[in-house]
Formats: sequence, structure tokens, C-alpha cells
Amino acid sequence: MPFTPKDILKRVGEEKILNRFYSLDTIYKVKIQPKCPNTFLQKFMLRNTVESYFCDLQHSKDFHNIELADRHKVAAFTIKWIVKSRPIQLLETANPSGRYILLVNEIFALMAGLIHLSASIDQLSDPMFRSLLYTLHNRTFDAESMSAMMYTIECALNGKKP
Amino acid sequence: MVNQPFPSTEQIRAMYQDVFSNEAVTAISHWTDTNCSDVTDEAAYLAKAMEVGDVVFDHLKRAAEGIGH
Repeated sequence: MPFTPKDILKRVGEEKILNRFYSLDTIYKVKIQPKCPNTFLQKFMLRNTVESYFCDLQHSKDFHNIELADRHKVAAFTIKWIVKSRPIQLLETANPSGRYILLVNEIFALMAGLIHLSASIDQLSDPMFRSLLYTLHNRTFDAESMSAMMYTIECALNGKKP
Repeated sequence: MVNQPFPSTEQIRAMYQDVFSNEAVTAISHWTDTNCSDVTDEAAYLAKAMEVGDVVFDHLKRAAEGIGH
């Protein structure tokens, strides 16, 4: 079974990559851009984000012999690669005020990730949201650890024992 | 220095098996989920995304401003 990035992406297939690309593009256009007009979504970086996500997730699935990744891993790998790739950029003419605009990629990442758990950011408490933003922006994290966090969040939101 | 025997791969694997065969642990690390978005169509994902209300951004702004360094 081929394991190079090129071969992994071939196995994932162009259609899957493009579909996710357009989903994230739409989420940005509808949910982020109207509230952050000083920003734009860099399409090359977004494509790179999506390809890195599929490559990394498939790599993990191959290593652990996982047929289908669970939604916590999908959410975590989505968050990881949006935060790493930072596809939302500030316009050259932007004169942003407020710290949140510098965290727009982290906000986008959390939004796109939590949707996989059928959850949204406004369901998180302020301290939890702040902690997640701080972790994504300032700390080193890996997707596998983040998937455990996603599992815990989902349990908490659904009143289940983690 | 104590002359310890060199453990085999099988011995190490057997030791791990005792711990990681526990269902609760494998649920997080090796869970296979047929309802994952690997197989769910993107339309369902997008539909969920659109359900998130616009008011959420005011909340985001407030919360993000509170982050200290």
C-alpha cells in the first residue's frame, strides 16, 4: 500500500478534496467574512489545508489500521490543519482593532471542527472557549490529543460521562 | 550494572495488550465509526454549519478579547 503524500492523496481522491474545499470556503463566506470584512480566504492555502488534513488523517488511519476515522479525530485533524495553515489572511489595507481578529483562524478552525460533532462554539462556556483559543494559538498540540478533547467536549454537551 | 535480559517484541506487545485491550481505552484511540464524515456527504456537513447562528460572533469577540498573555 503506498504511503507517500502523493499516493495518499490519490487514494483519497480529487472529489473528496474538492468537496471539503468548497464546504470550508462556504463556511468562511457565510459565517466569517461578513463579520470580518478585513479578511480574505487564500485559496491556495485552503487547498493546502485540506490536502494536509486528508494526508495526515489517512496516515494515522493506516498506522492504527483504522477503517473509518471517528468524528472526534475528524474534528481534531480539521482544527489542527486550519490552525497550522492559517488560510484566512488579513487584507493589506486592513486596520484591525481588537485581538479577536488575530485569532480568526483559530475561531474558523473551532467552528469547522465542532460541526463534525454537531456542536457550535456558542455551546462552549467562555472559560472553555478562551482556553481552547489560547491552546490553539500559543501552545503545541497534536491531533490525537485534541481528539480526546473533542470526545470530552461532546460528552459534556450531551450530558454523558466521558 | 544488572544484567537484564533483552525483552522481545512479543513480550512488549503482550504487556501492552493487557492495558490497551480495555474497551474504554480503545474507544478513544482506535474507534471506528461508520457515521463519520469520511462517509457522510458534504451537504450534511454544510447544512449543520449553516445552523450556527450569526449572533455567535458577538460571543466570540467578547470571549477572545478576554484572553490574557
